[in-house]
Amino acid sequence: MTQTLTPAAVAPPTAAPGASVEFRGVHRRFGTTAALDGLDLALRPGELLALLGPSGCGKTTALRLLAGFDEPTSGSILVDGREMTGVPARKRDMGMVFQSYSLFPTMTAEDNVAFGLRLRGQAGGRRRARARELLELVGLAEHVGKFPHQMSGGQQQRVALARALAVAPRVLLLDEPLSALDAKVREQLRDEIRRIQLELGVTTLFVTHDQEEALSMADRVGVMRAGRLEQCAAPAVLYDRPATPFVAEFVGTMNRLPGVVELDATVRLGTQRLPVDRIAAVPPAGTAVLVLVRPEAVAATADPAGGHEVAVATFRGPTTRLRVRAVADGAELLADVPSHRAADLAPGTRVAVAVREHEVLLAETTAG
Amino acid sequence: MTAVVDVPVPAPPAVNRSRSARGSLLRWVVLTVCGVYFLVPLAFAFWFTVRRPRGGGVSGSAYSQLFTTAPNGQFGIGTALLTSLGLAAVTIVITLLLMVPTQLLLHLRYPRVRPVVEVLSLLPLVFPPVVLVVGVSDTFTWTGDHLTGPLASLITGLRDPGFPVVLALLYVVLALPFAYRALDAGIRSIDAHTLTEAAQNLGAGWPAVVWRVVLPSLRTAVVNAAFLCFALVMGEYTIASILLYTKPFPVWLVQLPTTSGQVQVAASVLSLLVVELLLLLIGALNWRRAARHGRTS
Repeated sequence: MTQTLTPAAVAPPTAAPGASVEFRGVHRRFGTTAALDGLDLALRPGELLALLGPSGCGKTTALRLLAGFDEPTSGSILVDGREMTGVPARKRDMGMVFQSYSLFPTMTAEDNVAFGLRLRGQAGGRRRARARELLELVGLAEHVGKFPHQMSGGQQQRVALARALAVAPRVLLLDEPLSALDAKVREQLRDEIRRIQLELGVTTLFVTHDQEEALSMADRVGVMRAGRLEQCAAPAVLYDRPATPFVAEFVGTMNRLPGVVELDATVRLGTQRLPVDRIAAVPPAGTAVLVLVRPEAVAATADPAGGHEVAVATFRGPTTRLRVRAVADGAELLADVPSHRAADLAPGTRVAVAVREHEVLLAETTAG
Repeated sequence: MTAVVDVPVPAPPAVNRSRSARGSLLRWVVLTVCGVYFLVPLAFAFWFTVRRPRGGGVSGSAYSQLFTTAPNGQFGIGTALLTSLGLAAVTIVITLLLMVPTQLLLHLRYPRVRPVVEVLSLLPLVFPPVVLVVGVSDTFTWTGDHLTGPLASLITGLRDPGFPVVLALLYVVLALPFAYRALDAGIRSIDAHTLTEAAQNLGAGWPAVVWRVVLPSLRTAVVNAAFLCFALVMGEYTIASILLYTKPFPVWLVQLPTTSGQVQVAASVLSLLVVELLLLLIGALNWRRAARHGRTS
């Protein structure tokens, strides 16, 4: 069954104006392990910032420190300029959506959403009205009386979102909220979270290891590695102009190709001489280097005299990803071609491969 | 309003259905075997109590005698049952008051201490009850000789033969391994850590977290722990007997005149039925609440 998303018909609940958030030199050590190693990060009011990185990079630690579930070893966390260190979680006015739903199992959807309001002493009638309003906002108006075990994962996570928003949080914290859902529901809820976040203008910190989620939802994406922020920028900037080789390789897919630096600081790749984007210092001419090239920057055309052969062709909707192998040395690289042109690029076809100019990143000097 | 339609759940494949049917059949087989194992001896015992030894036919005289018999010349089955039920209630309350906060602290605050407490909780199974009771008996002798004032009065009060609270305290120790595991399993199954953080994030302090979120979610585990305490108290004979308390039901049962086997068996059957009925009653209340409020651990 298909579903249609339409803008919420209800007036959005009043939300606190988005707060600014700042991590200043935040360290968090667990024994000898540094989960955060001097994190500096600022969220602008009303912004949705995604923290992206591999497991163990410290993104969840940063979120938990902001939520108040943990304290930094050193450094400061400021919300609207106010130091948060030492403020208990229950007094931080933040709404959090957890990966594992975390709905209270003995409460209905309505009671779950109203829980925070009840703790704030709001009267029963107003509390219920507000809870229903929020459930309607997340599209669950007809599920107010259901218990968590009577709802699907997607519905539970919607209730969790409504519950987090009910207390008009200064900052909304999303801890991999979509990772336990199946692909279809994940995509649907991703759009809804973004829509609601924009409607309410609530500052949001979103932790995920899924780059597609981060790039499609966030105003800015912070890529973390080993407790540090590698780069924080708009998704398009992150993708097109990564600041470090790690970001370049972590965001999207990259080919690592061997090249040689030329006198004018260009790089020779096979028979091509290409200008490079410098994300590492350019070594002297003649140095062997690795360059990074995205699959969409590689053109592959059928050519019986070409030096490569298609090994695998994977249909991906609008594009088809080819794994091509050099006939001479067996080196492989990926190339994305429009699917309508992939019909004559079946496995075994000889192809000529070229890299488009201005889409090559210099990664690092080849060891030795 | 946003339309929300989750992806429809596909029908389970035929292999799963067949596996599910086999599982259901297996459950019924196990239930039937267990039922026969427990109910057949009970049925024969009941038949023995109502069968006339001479002349055939049935009679309820063993049960009527039960209510007129006072083996120690002081009280009958009603007093004995009420004493044991009272002791069970006190044991349950003390055990839960002790174990629920302990378990929450172990799971939420001090997870590293958990293995140590888990081993400690097994000690009552390692040492036989008679060791425990000898220690308690010696302690009472010493305190009787050496203590005076309010402390001595307190200990005397605990040992009151009318309602020996000391027995409930000893039963708490005996129930520890069972209650510990019932509550531990319950807390593990609800992800208490995340629920606690979710509640705190919404503004709840520790009392609200425990009272409004964790305890309601642990209802089944708490009831299970109470079940185990109740069953233990209703069947415990050794400690009460060695400490010379005659009021608890198991001791009363043993003291019935051995000349009337029918009356003794009638007492056993009746006690089993009372205990089973009470357990079913507690269980039914819990199931009704669980059905109304959703699944809990």
